[in-house]
Amino acid sequence: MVSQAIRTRALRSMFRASPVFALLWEQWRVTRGVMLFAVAVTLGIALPLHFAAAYIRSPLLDPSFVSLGAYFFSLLVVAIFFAVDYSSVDEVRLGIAARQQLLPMRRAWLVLGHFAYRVGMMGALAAALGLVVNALYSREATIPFEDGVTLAVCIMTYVLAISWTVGRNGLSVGFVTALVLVWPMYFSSLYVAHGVFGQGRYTPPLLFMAICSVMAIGGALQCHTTGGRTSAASRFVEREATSHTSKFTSPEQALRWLEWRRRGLVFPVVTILLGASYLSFILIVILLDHYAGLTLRVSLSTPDALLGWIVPGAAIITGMYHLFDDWRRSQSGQDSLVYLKPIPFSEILRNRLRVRITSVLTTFGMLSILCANLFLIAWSAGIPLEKWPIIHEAVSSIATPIAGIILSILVFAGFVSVCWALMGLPPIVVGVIVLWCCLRLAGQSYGPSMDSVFVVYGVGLTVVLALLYYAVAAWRKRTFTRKTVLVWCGLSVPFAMLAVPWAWMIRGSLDLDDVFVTGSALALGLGPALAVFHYASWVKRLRSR
Amino acid sequence: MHIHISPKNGVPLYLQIVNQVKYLVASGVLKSGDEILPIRGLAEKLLINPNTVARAYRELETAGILVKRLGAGTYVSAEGSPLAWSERLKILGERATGLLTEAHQLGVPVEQLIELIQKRSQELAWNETEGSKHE
Amino acid sequence: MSERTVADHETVAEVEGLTRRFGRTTLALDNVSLRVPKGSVFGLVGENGAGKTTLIKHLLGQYKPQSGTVRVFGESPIEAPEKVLAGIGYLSEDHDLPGWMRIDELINYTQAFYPDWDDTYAEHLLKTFELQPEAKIKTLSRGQRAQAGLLTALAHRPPLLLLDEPSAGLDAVVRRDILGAVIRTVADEGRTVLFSSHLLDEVERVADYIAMISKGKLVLCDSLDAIKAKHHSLTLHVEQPWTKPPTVPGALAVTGGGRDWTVVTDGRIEEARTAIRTLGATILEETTPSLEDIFVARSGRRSILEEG
Repeated sequence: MVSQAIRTRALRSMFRASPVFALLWEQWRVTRGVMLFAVAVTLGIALPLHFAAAYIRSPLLDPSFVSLGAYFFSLLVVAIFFAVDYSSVDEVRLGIAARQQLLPMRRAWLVLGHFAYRVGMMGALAAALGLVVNALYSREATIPFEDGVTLAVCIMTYVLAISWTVGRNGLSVGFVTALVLVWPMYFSSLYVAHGVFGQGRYTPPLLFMAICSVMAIGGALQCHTTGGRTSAASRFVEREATSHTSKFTSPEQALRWLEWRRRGLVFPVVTILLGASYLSFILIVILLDHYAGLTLRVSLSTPDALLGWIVPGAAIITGMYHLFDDWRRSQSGQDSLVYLKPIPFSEILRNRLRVRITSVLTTFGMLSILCANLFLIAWSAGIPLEKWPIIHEAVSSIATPIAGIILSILVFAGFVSVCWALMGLPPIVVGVIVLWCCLRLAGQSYGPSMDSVFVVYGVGLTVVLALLYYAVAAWRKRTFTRKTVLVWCGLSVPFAMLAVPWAWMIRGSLDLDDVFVTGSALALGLGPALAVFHYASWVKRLRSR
Repeated sequence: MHIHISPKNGVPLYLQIVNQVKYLVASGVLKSGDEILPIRGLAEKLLINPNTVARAYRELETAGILVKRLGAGTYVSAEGSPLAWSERLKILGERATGLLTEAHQLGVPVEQLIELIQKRSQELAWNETEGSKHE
Repeated sequence: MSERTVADHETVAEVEGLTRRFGRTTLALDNVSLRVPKGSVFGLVGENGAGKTTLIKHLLGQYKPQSGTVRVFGESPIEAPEKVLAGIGYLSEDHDLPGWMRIDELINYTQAFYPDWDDTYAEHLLKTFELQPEAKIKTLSRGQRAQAGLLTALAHRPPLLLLDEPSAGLDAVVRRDILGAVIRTVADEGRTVLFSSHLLDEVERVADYIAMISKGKLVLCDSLDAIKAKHHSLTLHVEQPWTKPPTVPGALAVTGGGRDWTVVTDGRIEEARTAIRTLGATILEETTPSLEDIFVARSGRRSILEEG
């Protein structure tokens, strides 16, 4: 509190000397940590990946895609940090820290200043990172300089448009329009349709930037003039975000709520784990190959053998996750909330088992599907295993599952720390980022039209994960009613009707091992599954009305 | 009604209340017919066990200092003051014990102590002014 | 409220010959027997690690008695935990509540288990403690956490309130809240409080009955009045300085040096007086020691005995 006051005073005196400098300095002070983070991310993760990909030159890990994915990932992370780097939710909405709101300056200038600084810094960062990447990786410039900067500015304006318009009615509509129309246009023009758009390839991104900018600035200003008053949409978001549980009428309800709420992060966490495991798996393989001269070849030729890898791997990861979760709970001492309540022990056990079985099965199912994709990609890439004699012998003499288990454990150990670092972010955001990035890395073998698939992936995964989150949240809060099912169907059925044919059109076929297809199938299936699972209580609630 | 409780000095808490109420009545702060705090109120104010307060009030009732009117609270009884003389002497007696102990430890004989008291009394000219003045 | 004697003979909790070992060497409770009368405030005192928490956990049915019996409301907490726990409001020593939970969630969760939950009382406590319902427990201070725990322990108006070291590490304001809650609880007819503490003046303020535990053994268990009546503190003066403490029958502790000594005795006061006179000392003052003096004297004797 004291340091805050001192800083406010320092800012004010600096402001009297030179307003522009004061604002610049303040912005820099607030965001320099993020900039450092971006450089660290790119140099620490993106570049090794990039070089490794370039070294391997496998058909899967094309360096231009790897580097572009990593580059895109780090820029997206920075953009999100830029957008949420405030001390409170209200500040995020207003777009300006409370300290600066007290400055004797017109709001419009303040908002504009913020916007310009953030977008400008993002562009500069993209340029610098692109320069470094291109300088180090000299064989072929994989990131067109101006494309990188354009991309970065687009990301930044897009993210600011989201965060500064959260829940404001008119702007939300504009935002959705932009999302649906301009974003795919941009990507298709940038990567796919060079020929079609010809000289005008920068028109769509500029249009996109303009729309996003107007929305962001307008949103921030509107928030100032209305004093942060929010629309119906934003109240809806708030209501969904806060867990206003209806009053529990029985101990069983309360117990089950506790069990679920405790492991409520299971979906986002599994998503993160998988994303991270995928990245670390590739990284390990690549780095081993690059530095030790060892080559891994997964000698899998049949889907049966593949399954042999997946099932034990997924089972082990599931088991370890649940053990880890139990250990975490024993550390946080919530047992007095369960064991010191006046209910028979058998009741506690029954509820716990029920929740545990459901969550274990769900975790295992999701892991299996995603693992299948992971190994399928590795398999189709034909990552060579021969130069690593121990693994090679193990694989050839014992059987593939053992090697799979060993690899799973290795991977698991590696990504747990990454996950905990990422847990600070809203899980849904991390999930989207990581999956997006993974898919970006994984999906290149489908030819040039892949990029529009990528667009579908991006938009699609956001929708799928949002739907998942919505359903799980509703279920957890025990507000899973007919309305939830209707909302679910109303969103997911049209989405699936649009997205699946699109994916099929572009790829020419529809494989169930496709993450996107399985993901949307899972999302579509989960809603009815949840409804059936809770059918009894749902009917009871309807009757009691 | 101002009562101060000190668990550290060893005197049972109910006795501390009894003594202080007696003192307040003797010194005229509490007059006959005054209503005193109910048991629960005093317990919450002093942060002590209501049973202790109840016990103190019982003792005071037995001593005739307090009187309970059914359903209407507890009051200082009409004959509270006449009884007070012996209480005054008792309170002073306790102080005198302390004073004598201290004098003994310092090696001051009793005669000199009495002289000192008389001298101090003259200095303060306490006898001439209103005797019941205090605090 | 009406007046009532604390010697109400109904018993809420009863422990008989309770012994508990952890491992082979640690004897946490050694043949402890005590009775908690209904409507009383029962203070459990003892140094850290004396076995107070272990005793409370036996009452809650978290530990099974290795030997001896434990009965709460006439039932065994092991055999009928739901019956026993329904009547207990418990505040644990370390206020172990999950950090992710919000206060309103905690209240909602807890109320599901108690049919007697009083919503208006819970609201009232929430306001009194100035707790924000939306606040997450991990953002609360230690004092607020204790208040939240206390709220969930009180709002179903339990016949028995169990507080394990409620004041440890808290500031004066929160300690006042807790003491106030204890007082209001006993002021309601027939409700009982058992609490452990090492803050002896706090115990002396509110307790009717005291059990003193030292290294797993019950050293003293009686009503506070009886304890006070039994113990005496004598201030002595001798003409010829003593070089070592005198032996006085019934003395728990002898402190001082030279010409001035203080003796804390239990019970046999006449014997002590005669012994002191025969030793040639004068008794300057005879007072009732505070609980703290008694506690110190008791633990003092223990260590002397162990040395001898």
